[in-house]
Amino acid sequence: MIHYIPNYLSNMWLRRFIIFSIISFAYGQSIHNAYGLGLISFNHNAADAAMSSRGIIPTLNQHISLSNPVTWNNLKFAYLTGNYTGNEFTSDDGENGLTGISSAQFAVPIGEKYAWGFGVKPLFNQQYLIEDDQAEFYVQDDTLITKRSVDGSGGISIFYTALRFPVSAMENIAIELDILFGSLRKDSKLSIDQSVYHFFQRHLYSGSLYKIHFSSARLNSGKYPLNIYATFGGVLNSLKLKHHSFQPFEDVNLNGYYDGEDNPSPAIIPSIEIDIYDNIFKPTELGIGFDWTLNSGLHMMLEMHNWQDTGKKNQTLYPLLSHYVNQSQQVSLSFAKFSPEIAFKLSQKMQYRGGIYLRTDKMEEKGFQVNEMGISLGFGIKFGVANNQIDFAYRHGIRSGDFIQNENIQLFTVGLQLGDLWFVKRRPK
Amino acid sequence: MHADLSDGELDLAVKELYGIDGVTYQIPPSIGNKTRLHLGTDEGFNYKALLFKSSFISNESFYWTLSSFLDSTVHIDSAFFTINVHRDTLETPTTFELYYFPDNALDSIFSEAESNYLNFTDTEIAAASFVSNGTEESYAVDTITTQYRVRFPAEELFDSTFADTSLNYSLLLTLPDGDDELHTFYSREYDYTNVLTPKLEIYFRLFTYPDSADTSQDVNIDTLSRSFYVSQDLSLLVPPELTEQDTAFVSIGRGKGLRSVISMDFLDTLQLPNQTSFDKAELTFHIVPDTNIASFSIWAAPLTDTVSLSSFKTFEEDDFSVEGSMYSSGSVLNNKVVFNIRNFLQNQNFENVDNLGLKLYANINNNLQTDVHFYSADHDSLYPKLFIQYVAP
Repeated sequence: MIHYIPNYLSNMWLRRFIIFSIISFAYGQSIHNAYGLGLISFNHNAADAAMSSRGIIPTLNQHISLSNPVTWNNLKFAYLTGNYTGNEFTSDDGENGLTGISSAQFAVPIGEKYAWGFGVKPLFNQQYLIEDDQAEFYVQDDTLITKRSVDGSGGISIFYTALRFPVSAMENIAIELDILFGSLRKDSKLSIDQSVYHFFQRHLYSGSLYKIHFSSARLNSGKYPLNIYATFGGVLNSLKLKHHSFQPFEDVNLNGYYDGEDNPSPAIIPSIEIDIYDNIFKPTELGIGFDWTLNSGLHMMLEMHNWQDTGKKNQTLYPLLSHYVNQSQQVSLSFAKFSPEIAFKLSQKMQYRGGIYLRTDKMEEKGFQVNEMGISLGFGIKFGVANNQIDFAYRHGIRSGDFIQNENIQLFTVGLQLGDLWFVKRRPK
Repeated sequence: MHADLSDGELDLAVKELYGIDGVTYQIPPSIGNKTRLHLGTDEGFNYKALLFKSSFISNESFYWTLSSFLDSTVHIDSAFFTINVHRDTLETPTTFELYYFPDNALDSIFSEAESNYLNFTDTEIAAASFVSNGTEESYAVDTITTQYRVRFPAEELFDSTFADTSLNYSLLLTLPDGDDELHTFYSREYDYTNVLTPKLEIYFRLFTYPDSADTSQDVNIDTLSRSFYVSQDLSLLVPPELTEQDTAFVSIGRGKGLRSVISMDFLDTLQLPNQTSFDKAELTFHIVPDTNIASFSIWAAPLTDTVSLSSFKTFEEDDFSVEGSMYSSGSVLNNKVVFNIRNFLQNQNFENVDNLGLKLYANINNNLQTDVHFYSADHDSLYPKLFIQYVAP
């Protein structure tokens, strides 16, 4: 019986973790999340976040990035990785936040030149409740008080897999395939005096992307050896949206559900309207990163990244589309003090990271943009024989633009990497 | 969070629609389910006879039927057909005549729902055979309340073919010739406790012999009574001549059998979004002023078949069937009637029902003599209107 206790405890911990993860998604997020597909996510792990990186430069260890598969051959072990992120957005409009798992990944080096991995991470997330002011509607010598609100949650996630291989003695490539999936549930409400109408919609997303990651060690020599990284991404199958449009109804009994007391009666309504929209999301991205080794373990990195979406977003699907971010550019400068591969003392096992960044988001509505600048800090600790690692990151930014003034962004990420030996011939006992 | 959602996904809109045409038609009045029965003449409405159909099974016991009284062991002491009169005082009692239909072998004398002055004529009335006369009388219900009734001696019915199971159990009540004063009685629909329901009452003795094979020996005698309530009753009403208003306007009247068909052809081209939810749908008719109308209630129901009616017409029966689940009721108030036809419009927009028009007809609780007349589409300002307020993506 006693053997079951650890299992029971771990199940209990897992259950609490899952419940916490789910509950924590119930908070709203910045108004950015309400627009179009939502807020795109570029930082998926603590090491990237601590260096303000979008995943091109090596941030986990020397020459290793969890987000860049072209570096996975430098892993000494197979790693199972999980990251948890919390955001907080504060402005005059109030405070919003969102927390949740930001990535889960398995990556394994195959020999010294090859690597393979797969994982799941969010691409867009949406969690919002937006309310408009009351409006007066004049009809037949009567004045109706109307009020609109929209409540949505969901997003698009990526299941990805990547394979890394060399193309020359100095150059390497990784090919990544991203399978997009996800959904958005949205409730648009219109109240007319005491009556409340609900309009439920559901978006189901599917599509696929590709990324090609490139690295070169051709300049990896001299006093300040330089490694160069580049990433290019495009569309394999542009995002397809299956739009479920449910019958709007008056919630007569105000219970938030569509039942027999509501109007019109569910018994008389036609079947759900389903429409399919293609080419909703057609992103291309291009990024380049430079990693200078200043001295043993100390690195300076520069990263530039441009992401652009040329998908056709139907105005009827996305009424708040005008402020949707369809282009995002970022440049970041960061420093890292990585621990040596073999470290015995605690001080040697510590890794320190920091960075600054400038970001510009351009809106669907021409000429509108939001500028953001910020700093990031973080540290990590190695532990265990398999170089397991726990990383923490904090980022603080301020953004302002045509419709956002001095919004403070705080991001906290914690990541855990657990290593094990895979594809290694064991010695016979 | 706050944002401008004026280009929201759910919009409120209103429309006021015109071009609502109406045509009146007449059918024989259908008053079988009225809570009162009338006999005599009132403001041109002639109630020429009352028809009753008795239950075959007694109220007290399933084992006692009308044919039970044909048994030789039953001796009827007295029998009455009793009908309660709706009146406050009794100054000059009126005598009525009771008839039955011994020559009609089938139980098809009349139907409460379908018989009327056109299909139950003087020919059918003349086929009845006289049973007895009955005169109004008072009786004390308790120490305070006095009620009035007419009791017709009816022993003859149980010596006749009336009690035979193969024949009808219908009775006819009329006024003697020359009397056209209006008399009002309680119908079976008045009170479902049956206290005032018209009924046959039979008082009898039942002979039982200890040895059924020998009727010459001692006999046991029970004194009993049984009653048989009517299962159908109907005033046979002949309406007065129609007026010019009745045919010129959109008219509704119960006693005259006036009904109207309304068409709203514009609905077919309205092109509202498929997912429209109607918040309001008010169909308004303005009445031609009439100070006699205190209250009047009208049903509006969507037609289920195409109706081709271009002008006033008289029919022997109403063949215009309606969608039973989409009734709407409106009452005359401030010289207009407003129908909430949201359910119909919602179903029409969902293509659950076709836009074949609406039938307007009087509620059964209206005064039979009251008619209402509405202005039709050709009036310069008081034409019918349909106001819709709806929410749509």
